[in-house]
Amino acid sequence: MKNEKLFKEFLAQYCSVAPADMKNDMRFCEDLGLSSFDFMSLLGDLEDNFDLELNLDNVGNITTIGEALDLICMAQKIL
Amino acid sequence: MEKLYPLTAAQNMHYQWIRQYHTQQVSGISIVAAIQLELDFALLKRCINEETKRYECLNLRFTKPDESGQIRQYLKRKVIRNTKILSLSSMSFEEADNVLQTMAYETFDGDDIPMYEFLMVKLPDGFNGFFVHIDHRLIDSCGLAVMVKDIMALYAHYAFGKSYPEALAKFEDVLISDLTKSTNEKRLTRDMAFFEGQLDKYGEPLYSDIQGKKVLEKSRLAHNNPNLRSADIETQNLYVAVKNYKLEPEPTRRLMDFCSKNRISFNNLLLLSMRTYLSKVNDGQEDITIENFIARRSTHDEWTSGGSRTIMFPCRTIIGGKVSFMDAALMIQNAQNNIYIHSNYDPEKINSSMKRRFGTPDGTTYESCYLTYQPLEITDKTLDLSGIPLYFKWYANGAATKKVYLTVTHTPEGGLNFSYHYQTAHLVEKDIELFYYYMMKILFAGIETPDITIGSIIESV
Repeated sequence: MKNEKLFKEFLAQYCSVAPADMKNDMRFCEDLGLSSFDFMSLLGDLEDNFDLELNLDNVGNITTIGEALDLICMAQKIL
Repeated sequence: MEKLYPLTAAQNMHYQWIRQYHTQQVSGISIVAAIQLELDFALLKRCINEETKRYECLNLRFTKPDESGQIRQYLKRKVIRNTKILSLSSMSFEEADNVLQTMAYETFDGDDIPMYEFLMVKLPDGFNGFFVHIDHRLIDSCGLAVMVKDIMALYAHYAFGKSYPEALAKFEDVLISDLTKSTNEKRLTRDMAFFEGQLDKYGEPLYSDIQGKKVLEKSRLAHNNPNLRSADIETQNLYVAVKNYKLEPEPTRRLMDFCSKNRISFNNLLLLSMRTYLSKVNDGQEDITIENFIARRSTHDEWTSGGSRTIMFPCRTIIGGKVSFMDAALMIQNAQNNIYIHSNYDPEKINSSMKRRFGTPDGTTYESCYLTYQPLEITDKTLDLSGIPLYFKWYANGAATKKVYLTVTHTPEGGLNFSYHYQTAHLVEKDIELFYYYMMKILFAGIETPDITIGSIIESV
């Protein structure tokens, strides 16, 4: 899945887990060590680099890689 | 000819303070890092020289201001500077600290000059290491922590055969990336829409002060405007005193457990306690704004490229007395998350917009308190010193642009250090003592009973 691969490669810039070792149920804070600032920066940089407009209304509920991938898919559908 | 770059928003923040307060002292940052070990100072000197090549941001210089007062930055590479040794070993620690503190007050005056000074130091009790005094536009506290670790790692490599430290990210690449981001039209439009939308929604902020309503009332009289919502900033007497309070490891653990269990960032919990105290001493005022510093380091490159990335954004909280502690924490968290995603925006644009919208008088502000929470520690463990005792200290630059500036850091023992820098022109130690006392009362009342309302906390503490 193209999105997943790209996202994990992008995410690897923010943590010390290699893309190949990332599982979709991994949590950004507890498993990958991201702070809330890191996570929000990641979303902002994703928007810029992949020309997306993410729905950030309920972003506080996103805790795992899988949930973030769903958010990206939603944004791509809107586009 | 070196390539010239404009200042980033974070650098410009410091530059504007220098212009506003007419002294470079407000932009100074200094530390000492020493270990209890005999050092080979020739080798340490070599490591410091090597660091100036590895950590490019140290080579930044600034041009003379142009007609509009703007300056530009460039990297002056391949300049080897002599690093002297200062022996303070015959003094007491207090006397040695006083000498270094005095040096931290010094200024780098002039254009196109180096903006840092390293000194190798011999301290009492067999501690040896280095002191660095540097302009904040070159580096922030996270950047300094990375630099200290890197110099120590270089020394350990050459002296003890440990592995050579990993390469640091290129400052110039990250600078170019930041400047490009700041001019990305789509991003800029989104960021501006967010901050302007906040001002549309909530209107003009209202000043609050740890000395209560009388401060705003005094400004209202001075400006002959009974509806004034901003208060005067002290620009003449910038002298700052520092008061530190330590919170023990056990209560610190309770705070951290609460944050972890409820997924609340500790920074936001601190903001909540500060704003609740301000509300308490301002007759229950619901609209409170605190300036919150954000380190803006997320990627590996941002962490290791040095530079000054820390920037402050106003954290505006409008919280009624009936809101529970937990809901208030979540409200702040939500507001902060929104700010984080828009933190490439230049806060100066927010100030300009408020000035335009509300006619904010020159020399006045909506905020009296500033917060920095630094989760990054510098300890003997983080520096991998194999049990060798470390002496590490930050020195205040002696001039505050802010009335109260609180920096919260972790201690090596697992506790917290609350360091209050306060302008002595208006505040005395007792004001700070009360601030800390009530912040703790509010924090622990809230984490022990998260359903308690903010109004009840204000009444009960």
